[in-house]
Amino acid sequence: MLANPTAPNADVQALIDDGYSVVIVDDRYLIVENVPYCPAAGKIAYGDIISPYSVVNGVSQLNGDHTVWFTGAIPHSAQGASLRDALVADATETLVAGRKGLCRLSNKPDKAADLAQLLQSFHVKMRHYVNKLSRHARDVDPSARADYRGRLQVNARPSVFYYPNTAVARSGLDAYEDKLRQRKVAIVGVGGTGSYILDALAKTPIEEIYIYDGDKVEAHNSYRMPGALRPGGAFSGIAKTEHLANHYGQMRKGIVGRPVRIDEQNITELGDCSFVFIAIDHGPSRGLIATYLVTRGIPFIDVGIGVDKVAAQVQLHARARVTLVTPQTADLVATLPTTDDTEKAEYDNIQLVELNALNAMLAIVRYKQFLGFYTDEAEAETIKYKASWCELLVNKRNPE
Amino acid sequence: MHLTLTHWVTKMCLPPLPWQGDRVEKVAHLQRIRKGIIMSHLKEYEIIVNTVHHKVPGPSVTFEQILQLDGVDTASVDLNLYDVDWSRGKDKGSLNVGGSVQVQNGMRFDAGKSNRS
Repeated sequence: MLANPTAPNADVQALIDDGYSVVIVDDRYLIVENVPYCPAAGKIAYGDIISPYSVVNGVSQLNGDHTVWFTGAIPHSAQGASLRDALVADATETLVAGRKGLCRLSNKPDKAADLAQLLQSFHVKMRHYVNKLSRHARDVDPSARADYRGRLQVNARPSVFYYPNTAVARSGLDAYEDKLRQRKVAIVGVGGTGSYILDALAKTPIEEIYIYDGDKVEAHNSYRMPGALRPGGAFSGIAKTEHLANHYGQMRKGIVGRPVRIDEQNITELGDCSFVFIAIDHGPSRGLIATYLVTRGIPFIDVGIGVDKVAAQVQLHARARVTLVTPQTADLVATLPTTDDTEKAEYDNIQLVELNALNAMLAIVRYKQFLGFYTDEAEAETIKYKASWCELLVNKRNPE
Repeated sequence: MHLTLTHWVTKMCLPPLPWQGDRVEKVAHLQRIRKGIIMSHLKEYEIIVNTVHHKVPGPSVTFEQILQLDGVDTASVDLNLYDVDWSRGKDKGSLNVGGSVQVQNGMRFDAGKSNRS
């Protein structure tokens, strides 16, 4: 038995004291290694039990999840009867905590009191599954048992986040989330739409998110940003980029605020981005940035909303657009609104947080489709939302 | 700019037809064709542009006509700033500058900019 003073919580210490080999991965997975089980009649093999793991102030947070992943094959009794119906909820191979989970086990204790205890303690939960598997192995070899050295290993990949996203662990989405790992992404313009793009992007594992905007926070534009500002903040005159970098800097690192507009002098700052979002009003700047990115082969999304007054009904007629431009569709730049639109826009006097947010989220979904995170059967070049029709129009040219 | 029905009809031209029958039949047939086409051009279609109903002569409308119906002075603006999209039952589509689409009664159009952030 190894007393380990660095165990982060009592449940983990109890598992170590029981002699198990325990691994904690990225503060969101708990693993008991080398658990014996029967893959077939009279056979013994070893696998790892993996549970989503969350501890707040030293207290276990099982969040009502009684399931675990198992890196072994479908377990059997010593006589060869399959335990699939009794133990296995899902036999889909899933990458979990960097290991290959071959099945997800789901087995609740018979007694309600035991179930309640299991849902409060990682120690009870892990022992429950160790026993369910290893007792059949002991029918083959009475000396078979999980690792007896009692040790703890903590594996932590460098993370941009100050606390783990345990929801990813609970859903077994490691391999999916990995697709969102990018080195540097930029948002040009963090007004209404750009700030919502940041809101979603900040919660993905991008190492650096550069945000560009020359404007300052004012009372009216605080009505189109995520979250809320106190009056002192709304009238502070602080740069939008500084405010947003500070705000999202509470949960992660790597948000870099640049309180400038992108122009010919500084556009090369975008040259090492893997993706860029353009969320600006000024057409010529849009054209400059789009042309530069196309030249560099950097994929990007341009967004825009439009609102017209229908005076007779005292209503607003609104639309939103998302255009994804990749090296393969570089000619789409010609379809972007890149001329100087000096018309006094009615928009200037209207706060439309819902349109900004919707435009941003459509852009984020399209971005994640581009990265292969979401399925993408439509392969849209342009998505247009028509509020009045309550419809999305998908534009994609047929390949010649 | 609003196109009149007369203007529309005078722009009409009939395609040449190969003909194998006798002359009386040929004349009667061409008269039926002309009457049919002329009647089709005399027909007005009700379309909806940005929620406002308009009557237009068929059989098609252009990107520019839709913007004009919405009150845009197409001669003085950069048309590339505008999107024109249509919905005709289950069919949807977009018009580019200079493009046109066949109209049907009740066809909806959305015309405007999408360049604000």
